Amino acid sequence: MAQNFNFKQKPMLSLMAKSAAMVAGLFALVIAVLLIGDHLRLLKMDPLNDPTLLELRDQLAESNENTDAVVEQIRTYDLYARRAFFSNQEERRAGGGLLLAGTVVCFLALKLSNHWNPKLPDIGKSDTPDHWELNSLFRQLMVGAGIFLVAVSLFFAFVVQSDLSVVLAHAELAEQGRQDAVDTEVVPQASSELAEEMKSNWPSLRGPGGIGHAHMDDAPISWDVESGEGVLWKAEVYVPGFNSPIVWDDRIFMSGADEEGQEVFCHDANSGEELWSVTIASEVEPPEVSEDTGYAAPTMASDGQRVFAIFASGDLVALDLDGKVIWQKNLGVPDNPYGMGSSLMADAQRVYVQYDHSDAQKVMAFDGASGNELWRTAREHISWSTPVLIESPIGTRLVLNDEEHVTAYDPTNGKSLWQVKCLGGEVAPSAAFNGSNIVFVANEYAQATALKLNGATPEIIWQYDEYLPEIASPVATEKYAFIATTAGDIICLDIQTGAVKWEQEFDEGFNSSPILVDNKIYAIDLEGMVHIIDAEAETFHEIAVIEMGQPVYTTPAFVNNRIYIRGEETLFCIGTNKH
Amino acid sequence: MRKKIYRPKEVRNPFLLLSLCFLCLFVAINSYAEFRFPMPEFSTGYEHPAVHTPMPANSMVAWDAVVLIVTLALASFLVLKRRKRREIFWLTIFSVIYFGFVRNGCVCSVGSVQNIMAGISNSSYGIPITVLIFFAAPLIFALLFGRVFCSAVCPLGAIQEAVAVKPVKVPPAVDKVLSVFPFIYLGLAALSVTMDAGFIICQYDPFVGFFRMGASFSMLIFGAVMLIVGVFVARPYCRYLCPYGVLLNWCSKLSWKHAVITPSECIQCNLCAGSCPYNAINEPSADEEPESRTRGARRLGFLMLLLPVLTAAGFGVGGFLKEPLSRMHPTVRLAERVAGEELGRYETTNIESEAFRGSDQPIEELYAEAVEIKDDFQKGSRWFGAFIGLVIGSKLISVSILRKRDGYEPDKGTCYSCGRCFKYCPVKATED
Repeated sequence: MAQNFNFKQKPMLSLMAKSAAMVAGLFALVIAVLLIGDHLRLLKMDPLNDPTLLELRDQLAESNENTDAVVEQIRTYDLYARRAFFSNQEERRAGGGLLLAGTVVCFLALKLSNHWNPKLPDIGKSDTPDHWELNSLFRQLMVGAGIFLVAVSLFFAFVVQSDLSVVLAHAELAEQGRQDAVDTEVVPQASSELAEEMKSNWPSLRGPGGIGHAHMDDAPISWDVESGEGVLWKAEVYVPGFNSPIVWDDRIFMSGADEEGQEVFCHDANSGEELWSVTIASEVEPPEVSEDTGYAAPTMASDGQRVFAIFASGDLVALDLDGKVIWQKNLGVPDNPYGMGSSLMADAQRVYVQYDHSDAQKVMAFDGASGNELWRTAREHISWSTPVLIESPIGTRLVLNDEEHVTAYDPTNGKSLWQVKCLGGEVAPSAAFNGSNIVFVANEYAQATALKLNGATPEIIWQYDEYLPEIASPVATEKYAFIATTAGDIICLDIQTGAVKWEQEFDEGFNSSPILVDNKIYAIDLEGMVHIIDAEAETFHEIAVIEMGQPVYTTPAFVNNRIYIRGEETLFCIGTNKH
Repeated sequence: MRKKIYRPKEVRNPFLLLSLCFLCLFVAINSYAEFRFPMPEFSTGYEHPAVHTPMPANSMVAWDAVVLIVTLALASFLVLKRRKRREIFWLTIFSVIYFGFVRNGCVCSVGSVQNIMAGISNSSYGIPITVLIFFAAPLIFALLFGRVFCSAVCPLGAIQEAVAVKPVKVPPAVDKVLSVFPFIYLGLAALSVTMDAGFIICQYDPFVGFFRMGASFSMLIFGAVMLIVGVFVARPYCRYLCPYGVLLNWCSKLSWKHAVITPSECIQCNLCAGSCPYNAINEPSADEEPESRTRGARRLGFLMLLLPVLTAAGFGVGGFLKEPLSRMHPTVRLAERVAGEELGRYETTNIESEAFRGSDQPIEELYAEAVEIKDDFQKGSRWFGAFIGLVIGSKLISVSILRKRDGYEPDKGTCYSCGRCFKYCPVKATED
């Protein structure tokens, strides 16, 4: 017999080895449990945010004198924290070594136990299938394994989706849209002409595109309502409404409504005379609205041939410039705790409606001429904000705010092109745009956010969370972003960095959105004080403060070096007869 | 400014206890590796010293090559001449201590496959001579004496051999099916290297975390699972994952002198049949043919015709794997992450995307780069699929060829020369 063929059993030794293995195993287990307990304890610790340390830091931040003692205390505390941490690391390292040693001893003892209690050879042939049967079984299993591999591959191919492809598809779509605009000859020319016309008019809330930029170079900076100096005319406004005036050529359009009825009216821009007034019939019961919103909060919009108005009832109407109703429809009575607040926006072809209410949120585009719905896109959150149309480097975008997001849509088809989560609270302010590549949004209970239009989706370049607006929309220039708050503050931030350039507190709050006019900011507070501020200065520089004599909740219109201000009861035209 | 801390029946059957110990071991080691303490904050005046990365210590690497060759020679001697399981096991313990804990599992023959592939696919990539030795020496020894590297030299095999205290047999047919996975891993490694996506064999080395007493959470989980499974299923990594094992298997099949169970003539006593936990002992063929020659030949012909079909099918299916496989590449992962952030899928940035956004690289450039890499992966994935189809087809053919065996023999490809079977053979060696 071969000398190797030795299966001598040594049960006592084997039992001893097993016992040793158990002891070593238990030892390792105890060490492991201790180490895990220590780890869990450490996870809960936050030494650098320890309350005592934070208190000391606050002390240091607040105290101007005798900081040496506090600094020394902080250093000592920090040193203790580090010393404790590194001592603990040493203990853990030692524990790891003991754990390893225990485990090694455990396995060696088990090996010895096996050695002293060897497995005896099987006598007789096993009842396993023979080699050929096994191969046959293998072939069957291999087919199953092959099918399994294909299924797993297809599963992963389906599950792993590419965000990059989505982003690139959006970018391609945007590029295609731009290319289409370039390829089409007639429409762009018309659009281009209209865009220029839009700039020389005031077609919507906060002017062309709704970004708060006025295109005039000699805006009045001094007038006196009481004496009438610098005031071209005044006209009484009889119908209530918080909507702001829009202007096209020589006509000013506004709407008004109460529980009894809805109206659109037009004034002559040169004389202030009311040219026409049209009652808009409604077939629905007006909803409950808050006093601060009323039944005619949304500002009208114009495409140059028509004007569009929407009311708290959900009635959307288009009229020609002479007051003839062209089409009218009801979009469903808004279910909204405050009432309909979003104003309209229009371009050459479409009128856009942001309809973010409690039951369903959506943005829609209607053909301006026919009223046919061109597209609608579902949205996710309620809002009282107004769409803005921005001319970004990668094309025209319809930008909307809501309770959580700022979202850009392709105005031609309503496709969502990008979305950034940076808002919160009940959003009324709309987005601002610096005219080149930065979108700026802000709302109370959230933060202000500057979004750089960098590629397919903007990049958040900075955020600011101190003074924030509730109602008035911010305005942005190439250098600065301005926020006017309901509490009566105006804040100027560096548009590139978010650094606070200046903060100024006023006596009254702002519902009216500030407007950029010829390097000046015009902001009107709730008591009707017009603040004209240098928009280029690094520090606060108020050029003029002018009293309107009555509360102003609306945003003025700036056209042809005139300012049209809708006060609580009066429509003012500030400027001269020079046109 | 405040900073956040970066989070950072027992005597009769002690195997359950062992498993628990390993589970605790990986959690405990992981906790040690994961916890970090932030740097002190200096508000003014203090200049951080420049970070110096020490040069790698090359002196030991040449010595490692010498130790490798000597250990291989010794393992060959023990397997072929001494035929003592105990001696082979002690050499195994030496290897796990030296190549594992002392040298931290690097250089490693298993990982060296990637260096060789990188050298082949990229002419500018230089393969260090030591790495070449670590790659070639075990294969040369396999061509001469079988898988003596696996028996007692490879630290990954050695640590598994050390914990295999209660090995059970995996059903042989299942074992053979699972043997496809090392080919898949080899294919993935080749794809990753040729696409410049990194050395995944090293990234997912399950045991290096133990050798170095610290690793990422996922690697420690992987290693702990392998060791716990390895208590009952001997060498799970070697058998069902090791990509280098594929090459060793091929070389060992052609070996000049392989370990044998019986030192002279097999008397077919069947005593050794149950001794191998790796199903690496082939039984003698039956006297009667299992089926008619015509039927066997017809099947073989069908499978040979099926081979190109399976290869083509793999090529087609591989085309669907472009997206998941391209995620192996860090640039693609970053681009996908950034794109996901742009789409608002993530609430915050991660460390990679934050670093990217802080860099000067335009986002469009990153996207373009990722798209180009994905296109390459499209082709690579197809070839990967074709390779797997070829492997499956080849395995089907290989089991359909009848081989005559007169006695119990180790399967030259899958035998790890561990020596367990030696003492089960009652036949005495004939005197030369």
